[in-house]
Amino acid sequence: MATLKAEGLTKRFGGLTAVRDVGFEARPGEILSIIGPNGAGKTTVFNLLTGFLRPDEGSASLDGKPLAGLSPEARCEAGLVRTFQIVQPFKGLSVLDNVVMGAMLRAGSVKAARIVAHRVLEELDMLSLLDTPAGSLPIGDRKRLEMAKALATGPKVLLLDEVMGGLIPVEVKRMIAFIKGLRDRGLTVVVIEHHMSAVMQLSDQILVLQNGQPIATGTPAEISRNPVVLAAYLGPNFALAGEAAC
Amino acid sequence: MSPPAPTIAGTLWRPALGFAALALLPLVFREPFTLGMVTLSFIGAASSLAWNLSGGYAGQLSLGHAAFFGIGAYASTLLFLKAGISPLIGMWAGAAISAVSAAALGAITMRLKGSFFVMSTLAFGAVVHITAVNLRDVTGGSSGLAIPLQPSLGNLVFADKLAYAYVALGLVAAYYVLTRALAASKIGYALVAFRENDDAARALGIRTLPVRIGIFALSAAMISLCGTLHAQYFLYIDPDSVMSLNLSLNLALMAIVGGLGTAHGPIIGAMLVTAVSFAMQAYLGNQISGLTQIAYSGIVIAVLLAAPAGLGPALGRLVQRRLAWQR
Repeated sequence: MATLKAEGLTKRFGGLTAVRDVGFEARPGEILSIIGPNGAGKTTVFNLLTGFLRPDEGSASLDGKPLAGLSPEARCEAGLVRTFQIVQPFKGLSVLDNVVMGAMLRAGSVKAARIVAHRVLEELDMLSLLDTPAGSLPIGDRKRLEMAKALATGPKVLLLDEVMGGLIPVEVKRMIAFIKGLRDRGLTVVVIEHHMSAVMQLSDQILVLQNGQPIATGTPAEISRNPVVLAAYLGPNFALAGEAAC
Repeated sequence: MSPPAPTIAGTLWRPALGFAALALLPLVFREPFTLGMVTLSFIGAASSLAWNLSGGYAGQLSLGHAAFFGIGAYASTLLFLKAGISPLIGMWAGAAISAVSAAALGAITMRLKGSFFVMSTLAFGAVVHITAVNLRDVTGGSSGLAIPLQPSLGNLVFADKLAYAYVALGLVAAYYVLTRALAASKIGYALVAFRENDDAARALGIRTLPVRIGIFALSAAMISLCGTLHAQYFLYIDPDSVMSLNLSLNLALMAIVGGLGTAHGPIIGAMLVTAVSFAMQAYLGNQISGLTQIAYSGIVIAVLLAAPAGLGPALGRLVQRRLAWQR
């Protein structure tokens, strides 16, 4: 159980400000979604939170403890773990060994890690794929594997970067149920997602980014009626037309 | 590429059979020329196994490992010649020096990625080589050092060359067992995680840097012992024979030809590479200079085209297919 807090996160790449003044608080047992058009800076926020990038300004903390200066490995040890939008399997290794890599963080031996990996793969209904090389999995299974690896580290806060992307509707439905299950277990979950119907079903809170800046926060119901968000997503004319219709 | 060995038990009969076959080789090839070939292929196999721990499992290609081989050869030889210390003790001094210098080198260069790391090892190898050539007062420079032929176990000098073959084979067996044990441990997994995907490893909290530095040091110490054995076998060393770039390339080649990141690959690779180079020398050696190297590289290219993952894994698949066929 841990609260992830971000304050004033800003990241510039040369003249481009990819992320500006992003702040939020993700609490245990809650799902926070970060949405926004392509290039809004969503993945950059994850990179800042997990230590793959250093913020130019602002800070993040886990349960009040500042994360500044910690390596990605140390943040993972502290319980903050992510998945990658572009899935990063250990391609040459079996599905089981991929998950063992994650489980090693808290397991004393490879043997113990295997037991943890088995349990996680069972939860994700992947036991039939144990010996399959990760490089030969279809995209849906790769997304689930990405999730399995992250879960095997025994996280408190889970950052999921577009785990629905490329999934067929049945898989999306199962993934939504699974993520809700994680939340109900008390995990803090932050998701980046383009799949709007999934976002609306999952989220307790939504943070909307545009051009690196937060433009709205609120519950799914509030966000879906917010004219600024509609304008960002569908263009100003469409939003005005929507207002006129109301 | 095959995953790290799933379990150690259950697959022991195959290596046992392999080592039994290797143990017969020195008895079958008793002629001095062929016995020399067998002995050098064993020393090569042990060296390449050492190289493979870092170069194969972690995928950190080192082209400077000859430096550690040379440090081993020179440390034990100098301690013996100048202070009368038995090579049986001197070899551990060499291993310690190699391990410490590898750890220092690794701590700096292992933050470099891909080819930049390779270049740094290349430079290290060259610097050590040149230093050995120029430090004439200590190393004898290019004229080298000779070890007196005084056979005794304490001197690690044997009148019967057969003994060297079995000492070398013992080293191969020890390194093979060590490799298998490490590959199946958390250390082996961390190395493979780094090789397969560094960012993914970091995101899962795997701290690979200290593991990689430690394994680099262990690998240097192991190859250093091979250097001592090489010196005792030839009773003569000079910088070109124990520290050259050629030697570094050969170690890498043996592992690549046999199968990177497998425990049996370097052994198979060393046997083949040594046999081919001996055959070339025997049949082509006195004809046109350089022909040996050309033919040699031709064979290596052919092997790698036919079996990109190395001969070891290719043979493994062949055996598995045969077994499946029988069932």
